[in-house]
Amino acid sequence: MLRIKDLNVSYNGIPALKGVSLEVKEGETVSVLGPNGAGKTTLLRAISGLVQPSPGSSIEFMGREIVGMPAANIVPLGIAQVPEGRQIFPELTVLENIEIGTARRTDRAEAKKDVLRMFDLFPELKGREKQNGGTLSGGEQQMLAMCRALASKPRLLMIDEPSMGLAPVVVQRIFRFIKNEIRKLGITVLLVEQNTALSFAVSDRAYILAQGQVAMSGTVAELSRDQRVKETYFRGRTV
Amino acid sequence: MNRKSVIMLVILAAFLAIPLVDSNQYHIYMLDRALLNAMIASGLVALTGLAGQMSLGHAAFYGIGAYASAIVTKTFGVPVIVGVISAAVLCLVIGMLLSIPSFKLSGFYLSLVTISFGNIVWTVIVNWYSLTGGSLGLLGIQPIRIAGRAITRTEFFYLAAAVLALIYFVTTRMARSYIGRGLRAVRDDEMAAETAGIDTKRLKLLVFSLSAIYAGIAGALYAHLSTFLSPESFVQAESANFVAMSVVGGIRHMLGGTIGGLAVTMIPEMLRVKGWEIYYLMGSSLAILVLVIMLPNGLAPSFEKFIDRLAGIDRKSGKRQVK
Repeated sequence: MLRIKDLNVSYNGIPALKGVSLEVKEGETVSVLGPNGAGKTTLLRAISGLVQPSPGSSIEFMGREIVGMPAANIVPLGIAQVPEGRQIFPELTVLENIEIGTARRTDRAEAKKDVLRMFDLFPELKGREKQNGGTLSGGEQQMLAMCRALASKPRLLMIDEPSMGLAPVVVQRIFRFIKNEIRKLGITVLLVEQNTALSFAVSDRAYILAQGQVAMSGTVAELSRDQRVKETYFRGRTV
Repeated sequence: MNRKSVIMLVILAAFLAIPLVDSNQYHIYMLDRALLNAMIASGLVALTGLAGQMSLGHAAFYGIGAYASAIVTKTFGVPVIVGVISAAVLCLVIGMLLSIPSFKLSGFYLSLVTISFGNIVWTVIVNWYSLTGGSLGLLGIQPIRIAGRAITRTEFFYLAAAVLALIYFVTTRMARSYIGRGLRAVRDDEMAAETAGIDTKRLKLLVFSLSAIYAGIAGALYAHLSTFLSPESFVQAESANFVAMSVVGGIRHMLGGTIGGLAVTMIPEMLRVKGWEIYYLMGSSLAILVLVIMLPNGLAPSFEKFIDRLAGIDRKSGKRQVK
């Protein structure tokens, strides 16, 4: 579904991603792990068209080259992003925040129904449709950002650090949602996280980025057996 | 009809009756000017309040509209309406061009671009003698005609009020549509809007040209009201004045431009007390300062609150209180 080959991105001459190749197959949940500054968010931004990769980079989605396409045209192809730190619209109501996700859909009637369906997926948001997004708690904002992305009816959902700054119980809720609900909807997921244990629990495969390059990759089972992964991410504990 | 609409209509009727009661031609002329300013400030409410884009150069569109309509009607002898339409079209095109820097810039940097734009337009007006008459100004512009005679100031008042009502209608409809939702998303978080699939460039293009058209129409009407144009009317300070109107009126409120345009134009006039004339500008600036400090959200939200109270509406539930 998503095939990235030799992706290079630099910010003002400083390389952030160096020859990253990565693949996500239909129906999979794939996570991208790595410390701060490894290039995880840059990878997502390159896919969603927010940063321009260097020449020679290739990002293919459903067999179509998307490098160079403006961000606004990538969403209609079926790629949605839940940005880091949520980035909901604080002065738009909860309902409007979700409706924004449907901005590029042409099936208006179905889109309207999908907006309402979001409140079934996250009953926490029910009854708060008219409230401003900024008045929600961090966890609720994360759910709202998820709804906004899902409302665009994506084939591929990219989630950037959903655990950031949230209480453990909320993190549990979000990850359970990724594991069960999103899979049930048949949506492919590319998850970026720092929390390795949580990511492994919901993913099929993982890539580990370090200093802008893919350091390791494989199925979750393979990686959790790997001595280097254990030492770096689990301090010798078994998962 | 509910009670709130009735009260609003009464206030509107009272406002529209002013020229019938007050026959002082200077007062009516200032009211005409206030309505034109309200059109420009309404454009800034859409541009800044709704979409979060700053412009400190809208006097340029006011000027472009004024000179365009004046020159077109003078040169080709066409009716005023043709002049006004060509002013609107020209401002649409230039407004689209001015929106291009906003694709990359925001905040201070965008403000600087719009200031430079205003200065460039002003310099062109002053120096292009053969076309604009330079600093000497442009004389003998056709007045608007009704049944073969020039329009009176009172008739102009009603014409301008109708145009302003149309502007209000268009802006409100837009703000309530998916376009308005998109514009507010751009204002709240541009990058998030883009990741959500919103074409932020197209929306900025739209709102910039819309506000430019409003200012252009106001300028064109002004040219035919005063029948004389001088570059002084379009200096940089006027741009800041338009921003002041939208802020004093309430930049986040649909009535903000109208109320602010009227208030900021009329307050100095009301302060022209006999014997104290030399202080009136100082006094009005002070009045604006006090208003901004006391009502940071502008006059319009307080005005609405006041009307709601008159109508007995509870602000929280939006329903009428039963006592």
